[in-house]
Amino acid sequence: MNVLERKVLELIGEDPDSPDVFTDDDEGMAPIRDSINDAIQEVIMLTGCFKREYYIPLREGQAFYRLRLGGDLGWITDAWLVNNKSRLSQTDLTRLNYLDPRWQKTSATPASYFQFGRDVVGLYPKPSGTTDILRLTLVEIPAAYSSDKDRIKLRDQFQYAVVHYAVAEFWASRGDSLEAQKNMQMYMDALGLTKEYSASPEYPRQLRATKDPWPVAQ
Amino acid sequence: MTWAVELEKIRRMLRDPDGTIWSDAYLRHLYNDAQQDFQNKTRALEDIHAQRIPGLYQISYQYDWEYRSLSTYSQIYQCLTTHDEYVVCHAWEPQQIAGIDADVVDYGIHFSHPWESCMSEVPGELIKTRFPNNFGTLSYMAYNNEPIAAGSKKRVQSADASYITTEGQPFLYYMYDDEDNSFVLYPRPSTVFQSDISGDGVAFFAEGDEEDTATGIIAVRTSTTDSQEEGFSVDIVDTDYNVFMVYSVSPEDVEVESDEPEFPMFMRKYVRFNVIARAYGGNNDGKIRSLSEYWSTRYELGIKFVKRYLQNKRQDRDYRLTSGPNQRRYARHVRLPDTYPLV
Repeated sequence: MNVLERKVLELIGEDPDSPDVFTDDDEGMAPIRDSINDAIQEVIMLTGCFKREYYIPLREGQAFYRLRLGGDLGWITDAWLVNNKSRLSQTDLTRLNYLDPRWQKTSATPASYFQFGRDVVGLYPKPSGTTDILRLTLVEIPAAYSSDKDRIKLRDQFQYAVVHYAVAEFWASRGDSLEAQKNMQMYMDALGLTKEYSASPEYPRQLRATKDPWPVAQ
Repeated sequence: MTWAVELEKIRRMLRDPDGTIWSDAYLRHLYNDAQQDFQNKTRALEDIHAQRIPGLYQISYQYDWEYRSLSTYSQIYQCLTTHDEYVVCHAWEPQQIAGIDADVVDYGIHFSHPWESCMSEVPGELIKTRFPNNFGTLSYMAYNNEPIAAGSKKRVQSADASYITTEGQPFLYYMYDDEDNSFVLYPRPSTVFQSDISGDGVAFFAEGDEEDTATGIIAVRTSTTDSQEEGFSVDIVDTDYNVFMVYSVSPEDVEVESDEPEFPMFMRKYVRFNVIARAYGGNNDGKIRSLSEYWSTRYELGIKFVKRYLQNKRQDRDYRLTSGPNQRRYARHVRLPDTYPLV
């Protein structure tokens, strides 16, 4: 039983040291653990608070790479060409088709990237050589933890939010929709989703336009 | 995580572990319906696919009644042409059946599997290719890295009397049959049938390919995986001499306990919420309105969250002020002068 599971048991009236219903083993803890895992994934999906870096060795003429992560790919926050020391800008299919209809043929040093579906990243132009490597920073939505010794991939600030989520699900599973609703509201408040403006000034949210032209193949 | 695990979680929330009120089949139908609803409202699932040409099928059949015996296969091709109580290969055969002496000249060979059409002969019929099983709507298609546009059979027939036999670099595709989920390339690819992906030729099998019959006909290339042992691997999507497509997914139904739902793990809970809401709202002994409304609210909230997540995916965009090529073009219409009528 990890610290989050203990907090949940306390709030639903169980004694964490001598639990009655939710026993301290995989089977007994499964309902609480599933709720906490769901909450962690939802919090990261919304806030992007868990990031990782990965390297992709580029291959000549290969534009598409399907990433197989331990969890799920959330979104890419930046892409960096190590050898070329350049940042890749994010683009999409609509823009590529508009600016360069034969974009799949164009081969040079990659200048932009795009994300398709769950796990595919594409590069434009496609690499003309194998000398460079791409460093991706991405939000990863972690796979469910299964043991009380596993790392909880969550910002400390959101731990109480996750606890309220699990408590809400407990009451809903017991048929008490009012209590469930109350705890769900506490989850939303703890997450900061009900605030009109961001409570994290360390992350500037404004959009900024630039007059630089779109990157094109050199 | 399979449908069996999803079912267990749903039953836990319904407090019906033994299926006393809601049967497995009932919940499965709700789940499949909820998957479609969630995808329609969020458009969260999209995928890319490298489709080999010609497509590979597990088995082909002729008569409609044969289909009943093929339920164990997922890639099935109905070959040749039914006529009266027969199946015919060539166009002159119906003339013989009708007792007409004349023989029409056929365009080329006929086949029971599409790959046979590429064995150095001219095919006498259209070469159909299937979209992936989970195909929804198409966003983009290319053949051998060249973009190809959507068209219609009418347009192709009107422009080219030899549209069946014309070969070259495909620049157009048209839907053959929505039910069969198939399309036809025009002109048919002028490539030589080869048994390897490398080099000039139609892809058939390559070293390290694995056939994926669950999602479609193309293989997953496993031999090009990098650093799999370290928990992060890269598969390469090969687009040379293949049809490359980007499409939105229509989630496939779960049928048996071992089926894997198509939504990523972090989105599946929202589908479950909808199932629980509908189960509590159903007209049976388990109907509890307050719980149905609670889970319905959670589902609606989930849809908003996923839309927010889809916005998050664009957070690395640079927004640029551009001029020139992005100038808006206005359609020109015939119109009367501004001074008319004189007042």
